Amino acid sequence: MFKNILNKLSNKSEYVEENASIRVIGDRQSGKTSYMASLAYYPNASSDSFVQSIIPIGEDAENLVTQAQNILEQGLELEPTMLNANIDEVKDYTLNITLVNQVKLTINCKDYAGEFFSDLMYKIGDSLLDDYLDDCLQATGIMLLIDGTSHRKDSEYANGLDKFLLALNQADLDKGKRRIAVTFSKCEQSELWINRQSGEKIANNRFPQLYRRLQAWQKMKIGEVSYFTTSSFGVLGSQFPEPNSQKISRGREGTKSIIKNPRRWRPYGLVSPIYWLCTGKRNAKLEE
Amino acid sequence: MGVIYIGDRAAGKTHLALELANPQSHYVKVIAPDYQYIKSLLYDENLQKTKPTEAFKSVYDQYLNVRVQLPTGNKEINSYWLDTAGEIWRKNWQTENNSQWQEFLTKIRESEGILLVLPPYRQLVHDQFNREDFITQQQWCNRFQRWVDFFRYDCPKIRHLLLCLNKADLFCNLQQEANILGYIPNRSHFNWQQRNQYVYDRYFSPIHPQIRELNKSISGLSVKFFITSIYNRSLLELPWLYLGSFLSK
Repeated sequence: MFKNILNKLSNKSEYVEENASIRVIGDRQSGKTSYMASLAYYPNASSDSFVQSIIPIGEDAENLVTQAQNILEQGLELEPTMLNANIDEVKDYTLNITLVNQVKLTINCKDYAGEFFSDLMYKIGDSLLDDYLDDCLQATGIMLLIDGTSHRKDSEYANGLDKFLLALNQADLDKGKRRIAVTFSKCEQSELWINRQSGEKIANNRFPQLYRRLQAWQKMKIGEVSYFTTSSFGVLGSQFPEPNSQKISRGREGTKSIIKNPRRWRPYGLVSPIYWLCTGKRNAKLEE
Repeated sequence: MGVIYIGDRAAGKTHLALELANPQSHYVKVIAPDYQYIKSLLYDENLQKTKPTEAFKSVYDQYLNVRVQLPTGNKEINSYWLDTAGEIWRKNWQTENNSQWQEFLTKIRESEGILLVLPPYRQLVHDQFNREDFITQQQWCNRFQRWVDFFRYDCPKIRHLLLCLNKADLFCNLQQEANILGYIPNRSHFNWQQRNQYVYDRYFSPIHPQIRELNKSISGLSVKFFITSIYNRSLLELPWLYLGSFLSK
């Protein structure tokens, strides 16, 4: 038994540890909190999954797990995250992710209210917005979550992003290159599922204006962009996959749905953007 | 913070609260005050019915601590039930009793969820009961419109609004509805979405336009629909189970 413990301890040092401080931004209903809750809960992980474990650390992250079980798993929608009057009140979730290849990712992740992004699109000179932007600049990585079915809002997203990138440019440049992981959510929808391994293609085809802005920003060599696809609920079946979600509404804002079969709840692609934000490399195993 | 349990007088709130406290419960338990205490406070043994809420008070409140058993464990909901007399909606009364009105508003605005108890309307009630005792559908809709205006203008930040059409024993087959709507962890006939749609379509059709208006005007608001009755534990517990899923503690 002692030998086992010693082995474990010595193995521990073989882990490559990477970490990142991440801000998840995105429009209202883009699925930010569902993404975070599914990530913290990580239900029905397959035994041959490349992700060995995800451990939530601290009260906030543990609350996310209970939210996933009490709300998402019971067929309810999560409530919208409120824009806190004070940036320091935004919940900071810590997760420890261990991968099969001995890589350990520790992330601190803040889930901003969707109002933040919609304010970016439509408001100017708001002090609260400035506080949020300042806080965002402290992050090492930004995850821009976009409902893949909300392509009709492409030009609004592009405008919001313009303001955001401008603020990033004006910030301290010593920080090194910033990474923005553009992540398309709700990819269990068949139209996106078929392209789940081509995030960039989804960006180019469905969000051309947003895509052009990001590519131009990348060309300026001040930051890196990569495109990902995720689904907080996943699909049912492998031969003829159908979304494991039940649509409540579908409109310009995107798709609103709840989980269809909680027992077969297996999210897709959640860790891939985090891996890239931490390491700067993509890992194909996380996108299978 | 907490939950506000509200409704006009005679909607049946007192009896609903008393019955909720009945120790023979499934997943929802009132832990304070104690059932016997609530009973002595609210129930008139001689008349065999709940005492009418003190009429001289325009706003009457009482604390209720409810424990809900959820898949991940227990949650406690602090709630206040408020009786509101008709006069408090008059501008006159609000100006003359400003501090009381402000106190009422503060309580509502700070609450995490609102359970609004509504009585049935005349056309809905089965004909073996005295329908004349109930307001007409039109009056009911008009009254609801006042609630809509109140929520829109006075509580623009409200997140969870639960509409409970009470006294369901007067307008439906309780057991049949409870079989469909009841909550059994991981084995329920309906999920929450289906439950909500079913009740909304079946019992709330006269106010569909107002609900759409409410949803459109308050961003982030979730309105859910329930039927409740003191004669059916399953239906009685549903709104609390729903709320418990969302509240933080």
